[in-house]
Amino acid sequence: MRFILVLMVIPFFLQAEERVEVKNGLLKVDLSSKEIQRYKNSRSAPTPLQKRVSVVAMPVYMPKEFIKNRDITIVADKNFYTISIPLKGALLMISGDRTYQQKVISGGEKLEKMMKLTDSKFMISEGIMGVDFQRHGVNYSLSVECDDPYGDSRCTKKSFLKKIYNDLILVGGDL
Amino acid sequence: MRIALLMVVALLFVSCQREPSAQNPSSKINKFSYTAAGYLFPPSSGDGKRGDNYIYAPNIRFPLENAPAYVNSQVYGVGGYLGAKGSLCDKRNYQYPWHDNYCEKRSWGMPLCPKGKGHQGDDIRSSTCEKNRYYAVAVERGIITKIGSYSVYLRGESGRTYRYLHLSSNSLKVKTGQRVSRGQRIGLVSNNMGSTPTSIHLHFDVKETIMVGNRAQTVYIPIYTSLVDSYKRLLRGRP
Repeated sequence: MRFILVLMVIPFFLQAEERVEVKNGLLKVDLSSKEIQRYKNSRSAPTPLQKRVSVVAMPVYMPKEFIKNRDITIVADKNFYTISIPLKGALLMISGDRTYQQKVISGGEKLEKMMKLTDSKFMISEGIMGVDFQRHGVNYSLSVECDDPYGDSRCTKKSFLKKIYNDLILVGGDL
Repeated sequence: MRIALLMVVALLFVSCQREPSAQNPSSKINKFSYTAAGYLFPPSSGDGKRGDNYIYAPNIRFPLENAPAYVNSQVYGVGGYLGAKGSLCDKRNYQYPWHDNYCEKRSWGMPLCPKGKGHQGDDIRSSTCEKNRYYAVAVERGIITKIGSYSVYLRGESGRTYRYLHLSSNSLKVKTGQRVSRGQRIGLVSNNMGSTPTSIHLHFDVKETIMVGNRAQTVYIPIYTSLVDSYKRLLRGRP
């Protein structure tokens, strides 16, 4: 009898994978007052740029090298932003997002491990070099797309985007 | 009298061209078939997440304006780089059943695939093997956030980011920063991949942020079940 009961229970354990629940929400921005002060002291970003991103309720990062670039395109909302920077033969993009769409409510240990493996990893997908990373509790994405995805070293080697990633600076947001 | 007869014959001819059965949504939906999510074809093309029938992006509109469309592998399909010999336009690539290719073998990190790597999205062929003929459309209301040399990014009101790849650059009907409505035309399906053309298809993938415990991370979500669901609605005439 016990054996039969065990057999009946086993399938439930086998199916105990992650359970997902739809639940939109906002991530808490974790930016210390020290970091805010450091940003305010630096005043590195031009005022027009700061004004354009002032609506975003999270720290706005962009590559230091391009903060004075007049060709950048900014699409911003309270909870996200995307900055596109045209380069010769390529397009650089950084975006930030403080929303989440799903919450795993049980059995997510395996998924959490898998997610850690891809965090902040530079990867090429469909010829586009990119990296997703977390900072201050929210999510950012940095990528470069080339007109020649298989011949342009900016999209075939990590070094270009890594340098950009290391040179990101805080340029504003509703801090 | 002759004119009247000619008109009757012409009317009969026109009505025959309409293919009444193809106009009937129920017959269209009856013809549609698909293999379950996570079952890749050929099986050697990768290990999918079987048994996960959860619809991660519910109620999206199907990303192509019109049916029929075919979700299957480009790389492992007929004429593909690792597929059976033949033309990319082989009719076997343009028939049901659909096959999920979200976890198809790639080196890209994919936490939601069993091996932690995969294709990120699903490849979709339009009705026929013709480029610059069939429109990709907005799957939900949102804003166009980026347009690259062969990509268009749509951020939906849900917070998800939808990526459309390989549309013809010259055909784009949207601009960066433009708000779009559900079903609004974005551009024509093509083989655009910058200076290196690919096969004619739409690569469609969806990024969203998932919370596990206190950890939040942006990932590409399995999209196949959402595509099946939205395609059924398209076939029923309620996209």
